[in-house]
Amino acid sequence: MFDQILSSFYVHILLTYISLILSIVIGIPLAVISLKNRYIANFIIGFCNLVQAIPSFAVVAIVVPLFGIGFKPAILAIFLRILMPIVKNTYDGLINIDILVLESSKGMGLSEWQILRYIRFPNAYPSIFAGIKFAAILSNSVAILTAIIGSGGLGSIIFEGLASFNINKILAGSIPAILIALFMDISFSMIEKKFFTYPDIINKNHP
Amino acid sequence: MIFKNVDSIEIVRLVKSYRDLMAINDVSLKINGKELFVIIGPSGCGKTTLLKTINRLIEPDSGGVFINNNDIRNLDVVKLRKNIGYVIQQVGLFPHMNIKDNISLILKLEGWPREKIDKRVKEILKIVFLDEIYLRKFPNQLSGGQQQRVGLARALALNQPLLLMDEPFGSVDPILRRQLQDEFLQIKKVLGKTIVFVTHDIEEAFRLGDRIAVMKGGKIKQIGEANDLILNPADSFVLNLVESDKKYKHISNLKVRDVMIPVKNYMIDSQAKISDSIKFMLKNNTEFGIIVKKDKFLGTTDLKTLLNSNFIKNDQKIENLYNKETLKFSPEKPLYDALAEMKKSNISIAVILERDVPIGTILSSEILNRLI
Repeated sequence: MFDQILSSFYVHILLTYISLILSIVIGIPLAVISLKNRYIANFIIGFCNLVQAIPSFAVVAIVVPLFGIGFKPAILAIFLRILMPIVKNTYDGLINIDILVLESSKGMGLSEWQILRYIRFPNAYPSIFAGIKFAAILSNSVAILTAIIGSGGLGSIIFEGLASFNINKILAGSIPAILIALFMDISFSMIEKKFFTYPDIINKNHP
Repeated sequence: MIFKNVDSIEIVRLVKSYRDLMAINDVSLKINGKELFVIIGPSGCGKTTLLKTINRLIEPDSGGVFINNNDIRNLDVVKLRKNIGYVIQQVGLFPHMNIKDNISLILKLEGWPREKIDKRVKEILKIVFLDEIYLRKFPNQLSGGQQQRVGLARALALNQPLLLMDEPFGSVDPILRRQLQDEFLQIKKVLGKTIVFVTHDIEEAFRLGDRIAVMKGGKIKQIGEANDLILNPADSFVLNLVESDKKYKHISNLKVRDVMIPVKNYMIDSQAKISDSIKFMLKNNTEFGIIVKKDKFLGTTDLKTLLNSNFIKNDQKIENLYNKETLKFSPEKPLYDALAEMKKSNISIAVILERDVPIGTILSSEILNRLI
């Protein structure tokens, strides 16, 4: 029993974090590309919104006829489901910059790339981090659902418990999942605080 | 730096429109090196648009901008902007950086070593009258005036030869504005840069500008020094603008007598030797003398002429060497007419006579400065 929990826990962590890292690595560049071209932006943000509107369960299900079942299709399903908050929040953070700040940085001779690196991104960090945090928690919960397409992970224990009405099994699956969610929330908050936070004045409107 | 100095900025037949609105309608002008050129006009007259074509934040529809005879379209836009300091009304400081990083970002990106950056930041802070304790603060912890100083410091960081300023003192209260203007005049003296300055405040234009361009509806109405605008307004718009500065409203009521300065330090007797006249003028720190014979006005002289005369070999009496061609006014003459006449004949000094006795003198430049 304990071995089963441990291995499910391990698979669950893999599911959650691989898809999260994948969505960060792909989502942030997508947001940057969207910033440069309005048509691409409409397409990408539109696609992300569409996926967002579909219930998580349906996203998981729709992957099956296209990519089959198992661990990898599950990663894809989670990835698709959590891409939206990362792209959207990054895009919003990057584009919502004080027009005067933008003008003065252009005027002083910063290149587009330098403006992105030194002005837009630092201004977008709070928003990007909020997106990543939300995506992480969503990733954890979708990873439970993907057990039904054979991904393994804590979801399979929960579903087994539900099917046989075995309360111990239900708890053995859900308590670690809750702990993972709490850990993610706390760890991301700490990372944000340590590396990406300026004095809290940044969140106030500067005159 | 692409330009070490800016010797001229020529704007040639510039046109910029936004849909059916002509923001700039065929504007041509020339800005000289090291001058503070003010562009003034009501909001929406195109002055800011014109300014922004100089650092290519706005690209014109037609016409061009030439700096030192180089068409700026042929220059790399990022390099061009690094040669031009840019200050805007709302400052646009980077809210996520402290003051030091705000000022030094561009230096860092240019690859300056840290010690050199620190040294430069301290230098600039002195120039803009800002204390070093602010370096660690963030923009929204500073008052409006302090932010404006930081904005100026940031624009001076690379010691750019050209400075563009878009209503930099527009959002601060009048008392602080006056103080910032005074400081800016001092800074300007220190820096010796070419500055293009946009404002809607005629008083500011008069105080700061070497030359002033009046804009309305995308067109230049008049370009000239303060006294050109005051004495020879091109049209009723310029006239109204000039008169909106309250101090000028009474100029039409003034007589020559009201503004003339006493002549005691200028009076030279016709029997004096040239060498004595020179000594007299040097002693009184004047460059101009009024020659009198038994108190009656004879003519004028100036230091330059006397020094150029052959007085060491031939130290003759001054009555042999004076200028008869001079402007003479009665004390009751309206000041406005007197100034216009001086302007027209291009003589900056006039003598005021009452029954042929000099009782005062006026210097056109000095009067305008006093009134401004």
